[in-house]
Amino acid sequence: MASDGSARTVESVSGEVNATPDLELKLPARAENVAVVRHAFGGFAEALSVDEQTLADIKLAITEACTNVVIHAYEDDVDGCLEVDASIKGRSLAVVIRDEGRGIVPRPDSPGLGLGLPLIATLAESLELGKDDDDRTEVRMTFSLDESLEAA
Amino acid sequence: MTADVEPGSNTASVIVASGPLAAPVLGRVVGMLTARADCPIDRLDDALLVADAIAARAASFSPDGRVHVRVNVELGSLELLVGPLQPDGADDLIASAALPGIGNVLERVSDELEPERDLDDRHEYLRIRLGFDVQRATMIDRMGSDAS
Repeated sequence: MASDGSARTVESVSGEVNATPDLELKLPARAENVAVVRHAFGGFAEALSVDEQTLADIKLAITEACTNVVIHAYEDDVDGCLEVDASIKGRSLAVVIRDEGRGIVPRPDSPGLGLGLPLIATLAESLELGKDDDDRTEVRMTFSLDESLEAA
Repeated sequence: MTADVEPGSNTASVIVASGPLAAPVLGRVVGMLTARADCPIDRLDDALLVADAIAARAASFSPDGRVHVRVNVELGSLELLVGPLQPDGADDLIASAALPGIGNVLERVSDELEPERDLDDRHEYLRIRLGFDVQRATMIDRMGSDAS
């Protein structure tokens, strides 16, 4: 990771504060940008020598969370942004997906099957839903990189 | 904090730690956004070269030791805004991109290379623009011609 230690003041995992994430991405919340986030994490995993199965789980969970932002966070006629932070601490990868939309609320007219969050919960080591200090909606996930780091 | 990104724009803000993460992450974001704009392969290669140069050098001139880049893609144009940078960081970043026997990567590849300062004059930025002819043979074009 950061050879100068500049971005390693991370206190992540399970709701703790990430002072300086190793990666911060901000994009318009549009469908095509979900693929950009997914691709960026491919680069992240390449640098960390994450094994294929772990990477597939991470990318799937992140895709689900970002897709939720694109589909559900903003009203149809409102453009909004999608933010992604990622931090490495020890053998864990902490990812925060953030938006400034209406929050995670039941939606009877949802176009999806409602499987996104349960799927993320299955793939991630931990999952937390909430708001940050600026009242933005956050989905916080952690993933264990143990197997990957042992194999590397 | 991440740089401003207009929700309706074709812009992405990337902040990545220096070290091994920077090049693979920045290269993929730049490559994907540029490819999506129907950029021809030679200019896509140039864009990745610029992204690699930024990933390798920019953190040395950044106030927090991280690589900050805002990527904006329009039809026929890719623009990278690198910064905030330390005073004289833009010129230092350009100078650091010189390779023996090849010359300066940023100067050779970009169409515009312009140091800028923010409104309160505290930080510098380096604006890099690559222009390209939009590739005509897009997937949609090919699908259309196959169908006809």
